[in-house]
Amino acid sequence: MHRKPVAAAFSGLLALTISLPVLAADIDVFKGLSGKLDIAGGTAHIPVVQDIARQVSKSNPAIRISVTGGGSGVGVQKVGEGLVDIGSTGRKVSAEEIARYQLKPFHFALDGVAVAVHPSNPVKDISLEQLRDVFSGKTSNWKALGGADAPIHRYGRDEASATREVFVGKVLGKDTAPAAKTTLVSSNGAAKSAIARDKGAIGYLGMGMLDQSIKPLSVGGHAPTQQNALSGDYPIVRGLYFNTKGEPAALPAAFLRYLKTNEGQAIIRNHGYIPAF
Amino acid sequence: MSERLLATAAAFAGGIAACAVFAILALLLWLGLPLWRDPALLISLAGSSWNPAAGEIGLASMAAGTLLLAASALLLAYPCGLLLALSTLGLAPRPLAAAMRTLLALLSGIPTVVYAFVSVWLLVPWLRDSLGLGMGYSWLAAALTLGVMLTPTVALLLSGALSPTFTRLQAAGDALGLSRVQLLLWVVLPAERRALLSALLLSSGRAVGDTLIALMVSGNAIWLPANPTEPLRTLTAHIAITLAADTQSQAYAAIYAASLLLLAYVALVHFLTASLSDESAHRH
Amino acid sequence: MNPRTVIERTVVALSTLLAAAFAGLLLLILGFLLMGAWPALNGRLLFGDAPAWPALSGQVPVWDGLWPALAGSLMLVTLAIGIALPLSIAAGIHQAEYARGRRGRLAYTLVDLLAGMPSIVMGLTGFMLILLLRNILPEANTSLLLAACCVALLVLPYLVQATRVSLHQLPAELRLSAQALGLSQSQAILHVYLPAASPGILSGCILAIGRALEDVAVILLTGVVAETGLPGSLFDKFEALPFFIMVTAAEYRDEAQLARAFAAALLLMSLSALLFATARQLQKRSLS
Repeated sequence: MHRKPVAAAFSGLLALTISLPVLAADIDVFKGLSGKLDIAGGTAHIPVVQDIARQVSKSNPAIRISVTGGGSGVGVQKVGEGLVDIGSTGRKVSAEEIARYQLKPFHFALDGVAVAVHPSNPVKDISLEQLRDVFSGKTSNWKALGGADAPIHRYGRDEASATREVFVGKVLGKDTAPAAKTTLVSSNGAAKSAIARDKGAIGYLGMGMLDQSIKPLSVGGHAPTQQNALSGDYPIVRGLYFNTKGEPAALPAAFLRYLKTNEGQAIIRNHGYIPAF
Repeated sequence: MSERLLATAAAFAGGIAACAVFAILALLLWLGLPLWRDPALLISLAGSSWNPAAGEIGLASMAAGTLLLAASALLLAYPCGLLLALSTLGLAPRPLAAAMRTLLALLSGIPTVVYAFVSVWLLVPWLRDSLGLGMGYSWLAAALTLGVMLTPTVALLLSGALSPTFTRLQAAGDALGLSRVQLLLWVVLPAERRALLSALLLSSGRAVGDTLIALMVSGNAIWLPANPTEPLRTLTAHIAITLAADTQSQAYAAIYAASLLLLAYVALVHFLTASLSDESAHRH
Repeated sequence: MNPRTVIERTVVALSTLLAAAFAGLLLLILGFLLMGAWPALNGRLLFGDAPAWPALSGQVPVWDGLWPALAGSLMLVTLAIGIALPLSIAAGIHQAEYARGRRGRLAYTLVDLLAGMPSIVMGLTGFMLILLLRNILPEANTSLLLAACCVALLVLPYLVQATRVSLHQLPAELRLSAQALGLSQSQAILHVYLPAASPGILSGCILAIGRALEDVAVILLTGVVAETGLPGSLFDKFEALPFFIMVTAAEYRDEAQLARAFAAALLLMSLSALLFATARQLQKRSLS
């Protein structure tokens, strides 16, 4: 048992554990299990999975959890081909995908897609129409949005991203093509760090990813909070899913069960998402 | 007995090494079958519009992006590499030349990912914030990074290719009263035109094959840049990005075509280089 | 002034200037990385908060430390070179000593073509192969072993070329004396030629290690992941230094992680510099 020295490392999570007395038993869903659990796909999920991986390795070192990104497309592809145990997606998998790969989706959280700019940008609010014009390439100066006379730097995601799919679906619709001249970043985390470094930036990312380094815009007067996303006031919302191929085996099943426990839900909330249970 | 054994083992290993290329080629051709069978898709491949949702899988922008990036990087790396090679050969004083060779070896050993990383944190913000050149992630940023990365390699390649001739002619040059720079510029370089060209071809292969710098620095927009401050996407980066697509989709099939395009370029470079060295062998 | 003189002077001036610029560049890169890495350069760099000895062997998982990525890279390189070296020495012997005429030239050509192949294409091939293999062997998956095989294929041509060239460059007297002593061809190759060519092969090997160490495009598709700890077996996913640098450059969780990426870049650079210095020493010794 190597519990003692490792436990000291996670003071943040430890505090979380202490604050909720019933939690001692929650991690026990992994008791007696061993082996590897490979998770890939959606990048909004990564912080949640990493947290759980740390908790699990602390209480049960015989379990090895690997985490990697790539986007929701990768999640569907990898779990569908059987290359990973769980494929995470930032959207509901389509009926066609379910039929082809016998996927079993597990909806665990709700997440709004926020539009964010550099903290120094004076713009506070943007309407859906303005947003459409910006991301279709019609508007290309901040002046048109009430900002400084400076070019707009668009950051977007590649086709594997569910964040992009949801954003483009809700904002641009089917008939408007996204502007070609958009710098592509590979994950929600990358979108955040790119926007934080560029004064002219605008980009979209999961609300769970927001922090002080970037400034989220309210859309049509509705502040980008998960409460507004839940109530439906904020217009761009999606679910976060973990998908297995068929019924989950013992280890993935324990992982999904753990998400539903108080401790699991606390982790989900801690990363800015609303648990869907 | 052991005679036969060694020969067989060696032939077997040689066979594996040689067959790898055929195996890769065959695999790509076979996997891309749905593409070659469908004339409409083939036409779409040659176009410049990439929108897999609408069945458009044009690779022309990416192919052009690859050529633009490689050509501009070489435009920087080749002259710089040549000058540095000349300087290690004899333009610099002897102890300095030895130090330069060490420097070039060190620079050529820096991992590509380190060049790209430094570029993301140093060059891109500088282009964007200090010079105000667009978003920073651009053709220009990628070309500068790739050019700088290739320069030491080009220099070592050229100094290796030129040094035998230079050493051979040095005594004659001295006797004629030529300075080292005169000997290099007016005798060695014209005599080694083919070596110069084959070094160019070889490094163009490396420039075209680079994935990391393009992926991390070029911005990856599917877009033919109108000027160097705009982003572009190369074939290699396109493969890395599109890998996330559904393996059965047309978009995924398009990356087999992209891979074959890259292989075709590598093969072209190889055969041009080979024919150059053949001719020079005949001449001598 | 004579236009040729103008050209000559310009060339001398430019080349001196460039040499200084590139020396400055090396210092700039080093200084910049060192500055960024400074906050992470402490006792916690490799193992985070985990105790060093148990963490080293993987008994205790390491979070927020470079050890899993460093160990993953070292395992990958060792395996890849272990696979590629015997194969490419044998193939090099075949090309230098046995292959003759058109078939020999074809073998050269194919290995040269392999050397020029973009690494992303090699990674793609490995990934497609595993998908096909899964039809026969459902347990097959992207893993340390698959990545090592693909990286082995990546460095194979460098090693074959190094072996072939080193054997070709052996002095003719050596071959004559081996034959005069009545050694059979296999005896001569194994006991005379190979040992004599070994410094050249070794320095090629070190360059191949450097190439294997820095690769990202191949392992991207064949088993590297962002976080997993030390691989428990050949069939596990793994972490690697260059992949960590690439991912963290785009998406870092916090400043501490970014500083670790700077430190990782510095570490990777020092490893390559060490390899190159060794290779140069060997080359010098083999020349003298």
